[in-house]
Amino acid sequence: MVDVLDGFWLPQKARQILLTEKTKYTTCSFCSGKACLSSDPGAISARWPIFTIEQWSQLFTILEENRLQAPVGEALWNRLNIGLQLAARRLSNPTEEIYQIALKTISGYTGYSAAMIHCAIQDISFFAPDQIKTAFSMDISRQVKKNWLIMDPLAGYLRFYPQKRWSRLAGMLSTQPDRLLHRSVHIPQVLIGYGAGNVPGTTLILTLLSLAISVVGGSPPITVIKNSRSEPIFSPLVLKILEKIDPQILSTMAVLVWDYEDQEIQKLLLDRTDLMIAVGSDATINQLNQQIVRASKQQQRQIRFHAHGHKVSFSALGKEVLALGQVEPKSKQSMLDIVALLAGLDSVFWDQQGCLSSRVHFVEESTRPGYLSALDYAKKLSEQLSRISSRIPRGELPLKDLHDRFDRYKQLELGGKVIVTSTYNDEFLIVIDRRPWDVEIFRNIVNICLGRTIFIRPIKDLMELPNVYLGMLPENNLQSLSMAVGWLGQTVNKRFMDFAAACGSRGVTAIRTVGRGAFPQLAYSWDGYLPLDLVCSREKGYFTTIEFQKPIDEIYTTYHFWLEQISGAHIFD
Amino acid sequence: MDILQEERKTVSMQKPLQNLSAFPIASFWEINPEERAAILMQAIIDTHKWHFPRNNSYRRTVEARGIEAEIAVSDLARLLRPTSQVFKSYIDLLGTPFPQDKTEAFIDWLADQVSLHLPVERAKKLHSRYPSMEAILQAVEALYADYGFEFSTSSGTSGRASIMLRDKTSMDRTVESFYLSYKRYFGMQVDHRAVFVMPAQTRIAMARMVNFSVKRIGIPSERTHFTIPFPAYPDQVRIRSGRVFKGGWRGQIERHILYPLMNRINDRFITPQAVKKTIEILRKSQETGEKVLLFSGWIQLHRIAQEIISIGKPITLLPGSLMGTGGGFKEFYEYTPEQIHHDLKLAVRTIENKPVPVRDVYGMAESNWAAMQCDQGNYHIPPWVFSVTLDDNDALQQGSDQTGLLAFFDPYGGGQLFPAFFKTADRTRLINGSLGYDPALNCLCGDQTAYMAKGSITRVDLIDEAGCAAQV
Repeated sequence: MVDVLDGFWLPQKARQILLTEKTKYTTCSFCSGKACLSSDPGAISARWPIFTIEQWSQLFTILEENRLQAPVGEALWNRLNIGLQLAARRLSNPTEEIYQIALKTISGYTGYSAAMIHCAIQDISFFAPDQIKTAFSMDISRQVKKNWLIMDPLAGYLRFYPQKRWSRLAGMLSTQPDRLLHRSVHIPQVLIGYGAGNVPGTTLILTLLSLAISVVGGSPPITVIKNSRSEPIFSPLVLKILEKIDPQILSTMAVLVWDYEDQEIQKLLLDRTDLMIAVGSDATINQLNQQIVRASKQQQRQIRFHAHGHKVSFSALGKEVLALGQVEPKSKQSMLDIVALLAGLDSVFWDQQGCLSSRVHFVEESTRPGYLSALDYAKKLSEQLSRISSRIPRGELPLKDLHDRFDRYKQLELGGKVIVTSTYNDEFLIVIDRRPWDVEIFRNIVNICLGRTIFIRPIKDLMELPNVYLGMLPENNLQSLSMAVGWLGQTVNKRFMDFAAACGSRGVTAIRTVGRGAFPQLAYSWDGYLPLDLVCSREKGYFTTIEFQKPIDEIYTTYHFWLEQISGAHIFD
Repeated sequence: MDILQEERKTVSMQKPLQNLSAFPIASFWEINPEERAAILMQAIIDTHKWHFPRNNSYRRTVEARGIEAEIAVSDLARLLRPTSQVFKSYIDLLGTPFPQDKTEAFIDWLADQVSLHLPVERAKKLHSRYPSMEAILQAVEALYADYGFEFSTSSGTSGRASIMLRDKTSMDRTVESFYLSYKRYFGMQVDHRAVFVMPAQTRIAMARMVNFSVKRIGIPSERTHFTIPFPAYPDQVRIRSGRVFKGGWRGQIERHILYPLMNRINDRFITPQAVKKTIEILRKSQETGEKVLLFSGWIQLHRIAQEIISIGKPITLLPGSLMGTGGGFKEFYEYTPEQIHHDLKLAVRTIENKPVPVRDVYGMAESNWAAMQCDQGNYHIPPWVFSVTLDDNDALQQGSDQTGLLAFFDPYGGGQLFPAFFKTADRTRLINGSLGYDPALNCLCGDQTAYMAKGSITRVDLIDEAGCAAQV
């Protein structure tokens, strides 16, 4: 069907000038998530051009020229939104060749099942790009250091946690709470992004964020993004579709692959950039940070750096969702079934290889009659995972690891505090563990929650999660929490807000409802950064956002969305 | 005693596993590969059937996989237990890597692991705690002296040692297995002088086995030397590795005093003394014209070579001498295997001015056999072991040339305590394993057994980071 795919994207003028018969390419081949030879059966190959330093300079010249003619301000963002809607329609249409190419190639390259790719590319609007404009227009006062602020008109709440402890204290005692947190405006003229990992879409998110900057007015920044070798197909594919719809909206953008250890290229980029956004391992982030510090010192200017290192995420269920007799009004499904399905999806997407994938599910148990137990949840989760797995199969990850974990924890049932509710033949593992957990045990468990391994941890009170468990993990590794709390029709209460504040202070940066864990909302906190942080500077620290106000209402909405997606999941034979 | 225990006691007292005496294991070298595989297959089925009702831990594991007492050949893969888990499971179950702190629970764990009735009530005679792992292991051996129990451990350099139990029968079988392999592949004979750069007293299984093999061959004690005079008990190895310390003030002493002190003593005194003594023995053997078998870890072997080179006089030994090593590199070493080999070739030669061969041994504490390296550099698995590779989904790979995770069934060498059916964390290229034979692929050394190709063994128990999910 396809030969070698493009793992890069350049605007038309750059392609015409820089890509010639003499252009050399690097080709990378993967099959089922593992590097292979291009001649191996099932190999999917992607290529990207190798540019000389002169060609890199030429690229910047072209992008600068394009920028003079590119749409500006909100007009660009509106056009992009329209383009995204049209692109989403094509990508969700199984009769479209582009859909078939996307499924076959991304699945073959990454090893993720075609059905998972289908679900993920179904609805780009899940990222809520229409909310970006609102996110840029927020005035965030310093009150946010002390209290949750409503993100009006967006649904949700916002809080800021300064890096320095004294600043946190000062925030609590602030006498000028209405002053804005964001001090000065720094609209980047050049943005360099680094994508990584095998989860599709990281490069696309960086692209969208960069274009979103135009919302504040003016031209979009010149943007060069390093694509991920582990998944180089999706983003260029989407950009190609967008270019066909509206070529001008992407004219200031380039997606290529290079080594951040290539000193010559890095110097050229660091000489020009105002803002660097990097997604990568902690080691990569550290190296890039060192380069930025050196370059900033040499150039005597501040190059801003937004780092997105490797993270862990969790789920938490409040006891109210375990109360007997709750059903969703439209489908008449029980609350437990719905929550188990959605929380299961939060763990299943990307087979827990993504930072957003939930690892441990904390379940608040009630001692009062009329409530189900964590074991009931575990059994229901096993049922729902069986159902999900038949529609969204596990990717090409070794089953041996799952088997070894199954064996190990099945043996532990002997102690009476561990129950394995899945079977050896399941392509997932569910363990409910009531043993005492120290730091080492908890960290080991977090680390083995990969490939659809879910631990369920009963807790007596939701506050145990931040007070006991989150404190055992490094703050900068915490990311999101997907929640099932509250009652239908009701907004979050004080108990929940105190809980959220405690989680935020531990380092959690995003709190969503179950079923949305794997899909970051661009308007909200991404590892503690808001869209406003792209164009303004502030003191060091991070934002935590709660992305809902009526959690159960949102959970039910999400449920219906996913029912439709899962039932329509296209699976190749 | 509950009804289940009573039933198990009755089962255990029935006739022992019969297949042990059916075939002397050395005779497997004479049996052709296809016949061998068929004999072993039946022995595996019989061994499984025997252990299934008797061994709680084994039965729980395989039952959870849908296996019952009667099995078909297609069930074989589901009989395999991970070596990394089985004999370390005490850590999870006791909640501590220090079994000496929970004596009764440790005895319960042991009883769960073995296919005989272990009178756990005897545990009342033990103390509730012991000062060291060595102390509790000795106490349990004494408590069950009538069973002829002997404990051995893995190297323990991760800080978490596997603990294996053997009785006299399984010990005899294991010694036999090692002895036959050393004799065949290393040419070990009674007129060799055996030099071990290791302590005489150690629980580490591989070291003990080579020692027993030497005795089995009949090399007298006056020609057997251990050049490290101090014992290497499990806690000493653990502390020296620096990875796991006890809690509380004891742990603080281990971490801040014993760990640096033991390593300093080792580097400045024990290793140099061992090197010096080894070289003295080698020089004497050179003078008296003897064949020598020198067994050592890689790092000590290299230090010996470096010392000889620095003195400027290589050692020359009779042909038939050999240097044996094993265990891989458990700690970082600044020299590559190629550099080590180069230095060894310079330092120790035969009187014909050829390098004394260096042969590696692949083994693990959990196995009752070892794969010795032949003169072609391949590692030969004993023919009484059913050897296979598994793919990433734990399925047996069929064919004469397969690369996957090594797994083995040892129905003869395993004894009556537990079924020796294990999957390892080592990826290797297995030639002429038990599920495929091609005479064209026989090793050029002349041996017609299964072998792991030279340079193909790699450890694969690290977690790959493909996405952005952190390892904390």
